[in-house]
Amino acid sequence: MRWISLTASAMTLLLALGGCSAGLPELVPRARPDIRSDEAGLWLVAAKSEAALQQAPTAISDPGLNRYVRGIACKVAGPYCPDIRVYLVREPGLDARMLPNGALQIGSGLLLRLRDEAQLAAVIGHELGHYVERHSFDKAWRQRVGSDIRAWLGVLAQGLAGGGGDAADALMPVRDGAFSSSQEIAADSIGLRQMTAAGYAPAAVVDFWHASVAELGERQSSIALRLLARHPAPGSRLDRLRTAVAAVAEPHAVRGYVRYQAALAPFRAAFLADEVRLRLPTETLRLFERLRRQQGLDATLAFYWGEVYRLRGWKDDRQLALKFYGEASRLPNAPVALDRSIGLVRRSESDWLAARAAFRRYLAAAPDAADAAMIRAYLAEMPEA
Amino acid sequence: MRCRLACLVLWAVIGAGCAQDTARLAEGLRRTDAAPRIALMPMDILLSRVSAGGFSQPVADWMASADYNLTQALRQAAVERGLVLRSVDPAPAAAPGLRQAQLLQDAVQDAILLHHFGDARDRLPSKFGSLRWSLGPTARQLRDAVSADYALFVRLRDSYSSAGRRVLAVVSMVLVGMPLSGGQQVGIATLVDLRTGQVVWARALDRSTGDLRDPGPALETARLLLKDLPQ
Repeated sequence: MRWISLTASAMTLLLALGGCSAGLPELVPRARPDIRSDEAGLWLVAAKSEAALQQAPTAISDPGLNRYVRGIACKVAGPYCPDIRVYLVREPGLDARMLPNGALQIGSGLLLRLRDEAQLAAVIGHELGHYVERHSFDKAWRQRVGSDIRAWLGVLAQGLAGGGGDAADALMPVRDGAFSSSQEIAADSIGLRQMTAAGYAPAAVVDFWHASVAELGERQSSIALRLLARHPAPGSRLDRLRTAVAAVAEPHAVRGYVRYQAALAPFRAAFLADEVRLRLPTETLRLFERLRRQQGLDATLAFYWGEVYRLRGWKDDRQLALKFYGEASRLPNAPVALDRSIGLVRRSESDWLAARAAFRRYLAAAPDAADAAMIRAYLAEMPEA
Repeated sequence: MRCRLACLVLWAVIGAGCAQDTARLAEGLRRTDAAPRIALMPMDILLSRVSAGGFSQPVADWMASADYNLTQALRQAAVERGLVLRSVDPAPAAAPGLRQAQLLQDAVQDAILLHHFGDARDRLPSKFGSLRWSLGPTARQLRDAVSADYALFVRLRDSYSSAGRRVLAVVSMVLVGMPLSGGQQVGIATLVDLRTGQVVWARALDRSTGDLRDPGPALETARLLLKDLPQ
């Protein structure tokens, strides 16, 4: 029965290619689908997801950060500003997604990885492209028609061949959460157009993808898979973007590095902690390399870098952790938890003198810490040096 | 071709099996209050059209009318049983914590569907066949938020065959002898005692008839849903 599935795939492919060249007309600003249309069904389901987003425990509710990101979104969206609603969520990894109804979800992991305002503008512009070009609806339509053709071919082929059991396979609808590569490419070009119109330097896109490719590497990690599953091969995308960016003039060339990092500063430690908590040390170390290249090493990043090694606990990891803790303590604004971590590593090495000193510094700085009682217990059970 | 008749018989048997034995009642539930205050929680209803290939597409205007029809129908069905349902404003400001309570109830409903209405192998031995599930302290918060003694949670998935699906079903039957599933009405309703958090009553629905798009059939669904609700 192989020829059946082959024919079905071929037909689906043909159809997809055919649909590709046709394309849907862009949404106009303030557009709402007709209530009887198939698109309205998608919007309604999206509205339910959006309602959940609004009340999600992971929502970042800080008014300042929300106002800041919304302001940039509005600038980039231009006439579509009233159609786009931004939701910031605590979610490590590299993720932003646009719902068909204009609800834009931006993960904290993405905010952490962005270098400057221009890169944020690029991401928002790209996601806006998915909205304007109605990619969700287009995708659903293709999937429906594809499954219809497969079903018809399956039944007809089974009937004509007089077979029995295999038809059920042909009748199974195929579901796929990803936008197609051509949709991603279209969104890229809209993103570039919108960010440039808003006065941002388009070169920021190239930097972002260059850094992302370096971070994700060849390794098919879980984070990399999540991203690559929905995006065209980063290498070819980078080349395409380079060419497109070179063609755009940069009269204003705003990057907004200082402004962006200042807006993110109050949340950076929490977002870094989220990444460490994933317990994917290899991936997290790559991310930290990226951040060091982008922004340099500050006390917070050095501390969490040490944490990755401490929590991994391989052969030399204690020494590596202490090295980064040492860096952190020499830099301004070292986190209070630094001394606790130093104490924990020293304690595991039975270096009681250093452990005691570190724990005492920690308790002096944070006498009411949630784990103060535990640290006191550690101090009490340590042998006198 | 060979199994056409056998398949038909088999499907009839499966269909009949689905229709019976679909309500569960917690032990010791009886009406102590003359007029218990029952809140009808914002319902989770999804209506969709099944394409020829089995792809289901949500349909917005059906959902809008189904929500209205079923709310009216449930109220009427409740009145027929001597009960009064009060709707709850779904706005977050009106009932804080509502969303979390609903998420918890979704999980409990899934568990009830699996362990009480699903395959016999999925029964939990420790429940000894009785409905013993609780929302815990969440129920108490909900009781204050909606000012009611009981909460009725309804979740329904209602699908309809597209014209293409119907044509393909006929062709499939004639050519291959294999029936295609058409529209389904699947769902669950649970009643939670907000004083104790106990799920005191649950009813599952799994059938290939029913229509929430029109008030008449919606009333039939509502009556069926509330059929065994203790009076």
